[in-house]
Amino acid sequence: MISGFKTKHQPTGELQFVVEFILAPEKYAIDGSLVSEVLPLNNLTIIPGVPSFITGIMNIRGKITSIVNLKRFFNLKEKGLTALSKILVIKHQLMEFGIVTDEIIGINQLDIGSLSPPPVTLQGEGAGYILGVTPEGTILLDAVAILSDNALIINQK
Amino acid sequence: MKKSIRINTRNKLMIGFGLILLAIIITEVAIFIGILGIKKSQENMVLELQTTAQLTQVRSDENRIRAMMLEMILTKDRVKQESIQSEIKKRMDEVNHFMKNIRLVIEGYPEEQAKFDTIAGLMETYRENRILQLDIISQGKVEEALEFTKAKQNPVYEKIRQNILDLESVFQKKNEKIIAQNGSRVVFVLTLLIGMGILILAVALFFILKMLTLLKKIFTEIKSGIYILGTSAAEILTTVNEVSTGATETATAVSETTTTIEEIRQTALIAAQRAQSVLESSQRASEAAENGKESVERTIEGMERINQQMNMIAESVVKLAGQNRSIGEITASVNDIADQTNLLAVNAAIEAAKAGELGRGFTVVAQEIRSLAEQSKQATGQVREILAEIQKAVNLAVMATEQGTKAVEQGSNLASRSGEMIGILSESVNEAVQSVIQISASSQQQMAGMDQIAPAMGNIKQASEQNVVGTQQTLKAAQNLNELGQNLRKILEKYHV
Repeated sequence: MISGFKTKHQPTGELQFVVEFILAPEKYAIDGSLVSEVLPLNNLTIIPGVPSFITGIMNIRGKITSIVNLKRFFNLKEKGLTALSKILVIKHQLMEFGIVTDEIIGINQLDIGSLSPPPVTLQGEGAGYILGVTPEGTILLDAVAILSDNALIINQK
Repeated sequence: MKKSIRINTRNKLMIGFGLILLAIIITEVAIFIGILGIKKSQENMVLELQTTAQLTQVRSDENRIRAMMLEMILTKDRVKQESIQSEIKKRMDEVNHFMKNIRLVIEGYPEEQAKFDTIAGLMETYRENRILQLDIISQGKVEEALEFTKAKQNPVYEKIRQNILDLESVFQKKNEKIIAQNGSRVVFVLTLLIGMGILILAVALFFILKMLTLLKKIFTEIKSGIYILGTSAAEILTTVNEVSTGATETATAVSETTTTIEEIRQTALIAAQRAQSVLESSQRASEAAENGKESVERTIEGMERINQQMNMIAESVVKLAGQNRSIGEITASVNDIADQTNLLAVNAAIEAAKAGELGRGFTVVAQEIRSLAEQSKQATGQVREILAEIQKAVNLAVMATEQGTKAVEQGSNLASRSGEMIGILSESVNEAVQSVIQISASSQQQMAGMDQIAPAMGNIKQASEQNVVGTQQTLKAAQNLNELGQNLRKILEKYHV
């Protein structure tokens, strides 16, 4: 469902440019301005002695980048890594790391006004990373919150 | 048992008759001895009676001599004396003669002999005294002679007389004893006679009774034997009747057998002909078996060719599978490329979005590239599906070729086995041909045998006819035997014991 810049919804307020992806079985979206690139998963190096949400590290154009598995945050069922898994690289100020996704859907524009707050049933560490849910059921993630999370920062060092 | 009884009976009879004979002999001997004894006793008695008479004579003679002596004494006449003297002498000779006889008789009897010797001694004394007296008389001395007689001669005479009387009485007693003995002998002999007679009678009676019993027994047995004879004769008659019937039946059977043999002969002929036709058809079968063998060999060759081609097919299929795999690999790399293209398009779109209004045209291009990448991905997906189907088909082909190879092997084996079977069949047919030849020969022999049997059956027929005649004669004989049995039974009933 790549709608590109054409949106079916009547804009009721501010439109946000996002990149949509799938973390089985849910569809997620993240602020497109923070996304630096998408790339296939290869040359992943697994590091011992790190928290379980750090899948490993990758050399991306000569830069060592941490790869985070968000499924651990949202207590989602893991399929494991496959050759089809894609990495979504996000960057905010100095922080930069990759998120493991099952599939990259594409770019989109979301009506921020139509967002509903995250369901109370959603628990776990990742609860604080969600900005809201679209009427179509796409979960909009707070990329800045993720990037500024202390756990990740500590780990970065 | 019966034999021993019979022997016993015979022995008993023999013993019985022997006993009777022995008793008779013993009786005869006893009677003879008794009679001899009586005869001897009587002879003795006669002798003793004579002796007694002679003694009496001697006594009377001596008495006479004494009287004559007295007469002589008393007579004066010389002549008369002389005559008396001669008379005395005569008497004395007579006395001597008697004495001599008596002595002979009493020889062996000591009592009598002693007495006789005394008498003889006394008589000698008496005679010597008498001679002396005669001398006295001749001298004429009468007184003296008388005195002598009185004193000497008379006592001697008296003694002699007394002794003679004694001796006589002895003889008398002996005679009486002999008479008594004879009497007892007669009684003994008579008793013996009567006893033996009774004994013989008893034994004879016993044996006659025994014989009668035996006779009765024998008669009873003969009777039962005759009854059995009668029954047996009747049975024989029945049996002979049956045999006669049987002989007649045999004759009929022999006739039937002759007919049957003729039929068998015909059958043998037919069998020989059949054997010939079977021989021909089995030869044809043999040829067919040979043809079958060749066909099977050709089949096996064909099977081998099929096997080779199957192997070639298998190789081709394997090669096809390999090529399929390379196509798959190529498709995968195409897919990979499409994937990466897609990502690149997404990246381009993100960059275009970041660029704002300036990047709008680039966004469209990125969108187009993305859709091309999607299309090539879909195409590779279709290719992959097709390849999967091809793979399936190849797998099936591999399995089919394997099965085909196996089937060909089985077919080949079956064909070989058919070949063997046809070989066995061919052998069997050949054996059958041999058998048929033998059967043909056998049926020929059978026919020859039947030809020999025919005259033999004729002979048997004759024999059975003779048998019938013979049986009829036997029947007559059996009837006679039966009549004899019945007659014997009638006779037995008549003289029932």
